[in-house]
Amino acid sequence: MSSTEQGTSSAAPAEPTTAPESAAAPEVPESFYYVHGKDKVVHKVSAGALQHSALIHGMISNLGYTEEQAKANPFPFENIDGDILQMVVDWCNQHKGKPTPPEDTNLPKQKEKLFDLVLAVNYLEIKELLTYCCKQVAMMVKGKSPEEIREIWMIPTDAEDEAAEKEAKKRAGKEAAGETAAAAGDAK
Amino acid sequence: MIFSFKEMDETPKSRKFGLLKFPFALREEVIRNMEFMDAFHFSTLSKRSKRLVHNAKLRTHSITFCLNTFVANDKIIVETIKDGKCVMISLADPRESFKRKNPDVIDGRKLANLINEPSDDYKKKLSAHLLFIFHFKETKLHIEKAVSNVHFERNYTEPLTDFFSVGCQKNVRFCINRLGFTAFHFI
Repeated sequence: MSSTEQGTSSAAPAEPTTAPESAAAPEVPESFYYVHGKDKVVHKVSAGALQHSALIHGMISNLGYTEEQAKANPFPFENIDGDILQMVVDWCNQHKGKPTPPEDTNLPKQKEKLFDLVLAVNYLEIKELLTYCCKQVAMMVKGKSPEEIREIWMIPTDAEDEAAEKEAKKRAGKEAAGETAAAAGDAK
Repeated sequence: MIFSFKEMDETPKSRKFGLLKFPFALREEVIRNMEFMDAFHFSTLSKRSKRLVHNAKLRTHSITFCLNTFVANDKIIVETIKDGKCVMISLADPRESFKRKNPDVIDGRKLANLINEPSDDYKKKLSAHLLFIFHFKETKLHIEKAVSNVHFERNYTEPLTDFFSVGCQKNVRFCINRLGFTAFHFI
C-alpha cells in the first residue's frame, strides 16, 4: 500500500508539467468492441469511436454489454452491408475524440453506396455523419434541371403515383378478401 | 448471441437509389440542405414532391414582391437564410419591348411553366407556389413610384390581385395614395 503511494509520489515529479494530453491518455486502457455486418466480417472498434453511434453507445452503457461479452458475441448488424459498415467504422475511428469538421469530403460519390450509407448511419444514429450524408445527397442535384433531379432521385410523376396507389389499394382489397375467406373457412 | 437485429431489417430490397425510399425524417433533412432553386425545381416534379418541400419547412428569410412604375421592372426577390444570397425573379411581360436582359435575373414565366397547376396567370401561379412551399420569415411588398413620372401612373392594385387575396387591396391602395415610395410587411 505504502509502496504504491511511494511509487506514485516519486513518479509524479518526474512527469513534465506541460505533458501532452496524448501522453497521459494511454494510462487508461481502452476497451474495444466488435461489430459485424451482412458479410459476417468482424470489425474491432474502440469504445471511444463507438460513442458516435447513439445506438451502440446505448447498448454498451444501458444494457451493460461488457468487453468480454462483446468479444464472444460481436454486435450483429445483419441489415448493413459489410463495405458500408467498414466505411462507418473508419469514419468513427477517424473522428474519435475529435471535433467534427464542417464538411466531410470522403463520403462516397456513388448514388447506391451513399443511399446505403445514409440508411446505415440513420439506423446506427450517428448524428454528425448523418448530417454530412444528407448534405451530400442534397448536393447531388445542385444546379440540376427538374428532369435531371427526377432521374437522379427517381421521383415518380403524378400519374405514376396514382397508378401505384390504385395498385396498392387493389392489393390491400384482395388481401382483406383473402383473410375474410380464410376466417370463414376456419369458422366452418 | 445477446442481441439480434434480423427482424429490424430496414434495407430496401431494391438496389436503386430513390429519395422517396428514405424515411420521412431523412427526406426532410435532405430537403432542408438543398439550395433555394434546387428545392423549387424539386417541388415542381409532382404533388408529392411539392408537399415534401412544404413539410420540410425549409426556412427562408424573406420574399419581397417589388412593383415598379414600369411593369417591366416588377420582380420577386427571395433572400435565403442559408447563404444570405438573393434570388431575383423577373415578372416582366416578355412582350414588353423595353425589357432589359439581365443574366442574374431568373425569368418568372419560365419558372411558372414548370409548375403543373391549372392557372392562366403565371404571376399568380408562381407566387402561390412560392408562398406554399417555402416558409418565409418575412413577406414584403415593395412599391416604387417615381413622383415625377405622374403621366406613367400605374394601377398597382391590379397586380396585387395576382399575388394576394382581394382583402389586402384596401390597405395597399391607402399606402400608395399617401407615399411615393413604399415598403411594408404583410402579416
